[in-house]
Amino acid sequence: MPISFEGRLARAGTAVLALIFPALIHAQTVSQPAVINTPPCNDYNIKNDPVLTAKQRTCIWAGNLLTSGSVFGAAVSSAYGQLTDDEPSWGQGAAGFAKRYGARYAQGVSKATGQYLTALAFREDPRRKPSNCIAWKRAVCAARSVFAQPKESGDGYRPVFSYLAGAAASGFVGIGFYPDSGTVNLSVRRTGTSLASSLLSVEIAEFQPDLLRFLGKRFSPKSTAKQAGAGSSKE
Amino acid sequence: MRNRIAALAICALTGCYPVKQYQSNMVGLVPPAPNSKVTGPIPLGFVEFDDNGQIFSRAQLENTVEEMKKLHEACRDGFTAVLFIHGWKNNADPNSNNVAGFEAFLRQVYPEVKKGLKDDCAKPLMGIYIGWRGARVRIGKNFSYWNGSNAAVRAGGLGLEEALYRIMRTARPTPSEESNLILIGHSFGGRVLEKVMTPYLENEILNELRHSNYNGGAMSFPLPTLTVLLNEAAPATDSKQFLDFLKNHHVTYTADDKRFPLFLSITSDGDWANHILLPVGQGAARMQMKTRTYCTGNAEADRKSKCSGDPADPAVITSQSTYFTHSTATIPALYSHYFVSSPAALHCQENDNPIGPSFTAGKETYLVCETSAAWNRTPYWVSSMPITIVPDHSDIFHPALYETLMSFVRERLHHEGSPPVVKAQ
Repeated sequence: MPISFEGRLARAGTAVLALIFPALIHAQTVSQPAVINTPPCNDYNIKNDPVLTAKQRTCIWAGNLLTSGSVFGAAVSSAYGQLTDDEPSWGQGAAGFAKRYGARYAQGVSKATGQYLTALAFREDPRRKPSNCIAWKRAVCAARSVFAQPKESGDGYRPVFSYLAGAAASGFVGIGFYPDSGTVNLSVRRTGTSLASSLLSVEIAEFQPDLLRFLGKRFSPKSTAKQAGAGSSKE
Repeated sequence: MRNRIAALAICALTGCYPVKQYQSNMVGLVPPAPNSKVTGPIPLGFVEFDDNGQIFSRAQLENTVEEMKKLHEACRDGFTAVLFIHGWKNNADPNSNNVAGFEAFLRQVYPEVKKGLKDDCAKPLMGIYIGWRGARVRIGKNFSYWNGSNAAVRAGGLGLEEALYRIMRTARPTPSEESNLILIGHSFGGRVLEKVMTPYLENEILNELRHSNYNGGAMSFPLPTLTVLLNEAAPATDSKQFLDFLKNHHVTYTADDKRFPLFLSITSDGDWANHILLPVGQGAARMQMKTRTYCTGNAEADRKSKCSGDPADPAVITSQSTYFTHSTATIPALYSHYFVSSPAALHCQENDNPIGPSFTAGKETYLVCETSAAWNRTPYWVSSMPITIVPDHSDIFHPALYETLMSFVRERLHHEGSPPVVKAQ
């Protein structure tokens, strides 16, 4: 049966509408201003959000796996191990260094992972904050942050397990791959060393701004605004 | 060919950031933060420039200007725009911490801007984020200092100059307008901003001076409310020439004999990047060029130093390398103002005057004082800033910083009488 002109027109109109309508909808959507949401793992959000999500904690952990400290720290420690021949079975040379480097790096990864999982389980805040203490007490307060942190309510302190767990993970993971020093005794010693390095790092973080300010003053020119103004009458 | 392969290999190893536009051409909205006082979303426009200072998409600028025009028409004097130029190791990527920080800063600004405005002014605040290739590599970022510094100079080119001019004309069509435009350049972003704003102002002032009808009165050209160079990472050789220009032409920015800033260059006392890294970086850069020794007026000393040209001004800085290896706000001889804070007594030193009432930022109360005997008495204000306001180079988006900047703006807004004007001779 032949289709009338009106029918053809109606079909064509429907087809055109079918083509145009999604485009119109799309145009409407595009012209609406988009809400700008920065990702939760943006450094600013991680630093400033009052409570961290599991995703943000994971981002911190992932970020800790490949830092200049972890890469170069493992290199320096391996070089020292090579020098003192700490694992005679691994020998010297590039192969010995590579094995030592791998072991040190694995220890670092274990430490970061142990810390991350424990903090996640106990809902500890992995972010370091400068202490509110003054003068020499800052050293004590910084050290305390390895073992205790303020409660969310602001009322007193709660114990922190993550540093200890990270240190233990770093110390005991060596049982799996150190041929000569993979004993329990030496693992306990490595745990102690790792905890000491955590303590040292929080102390450095606490006093680093003061040290940099002190150095910064040494780099700055000394003449003051008034001394400069004394020799000038121009406005 | 070998160079290209080497460059590609370095890029692969260090994780180069691509040269690309990160944000859409449309003006977006910053959502209110949970539990915040912000009642509505804040429009935020991005205008991005590539590694050569060329704009990525003109639509970004057109849409930003168009949106700003609409908002300004709705709110008139109640409208405020804050423009931010990010610094080193940042770009316009949503993952850049400056993007999130600027959004948070806008949320902090909003309640103050909204205060006392009518309901028909629904969106009184707009943010503009200027993106450029400040982030270059993902690993070994500190080694990109020289590349970043050069990129900042390229970013402060004609493209950005046009963008800033159009934004200024839209947000504050006349100098007497009470709407606000605050320009903030951070770190290398300060250098970008200075590279654009100082030639602009110098041209405008010289044009007015050249005009046969000029009789020392008020000059009329678009001006932002305040231009802030925050922890600016730029050699002071850039600002020194502009300071000399302002001094030699006796440029003032005053209302009823009260001084106001055209520029505010402030650096935190805890900004180790500017106090240590910049002198080291610039010291290395100095190997490629020569600086000169200024004459002192002492014939014997001048003969020995083989100086030539005008005498040192200020006289206490006798080598150009001091300017080349330090930023403006780390050279105390160029300071014009200083902060005093509680619990120390809140008063200025003898003969110095406060620029306004004290203000509270964070846990402290501050007073900003003008050094009456300073060498720098120009409208290019320079000061250091306590670490309680901004603790270091990068950690800038704090309510305390907002309060500090507003203390400069408020003083101007609440100034009774005629608005400040630029005059020169």
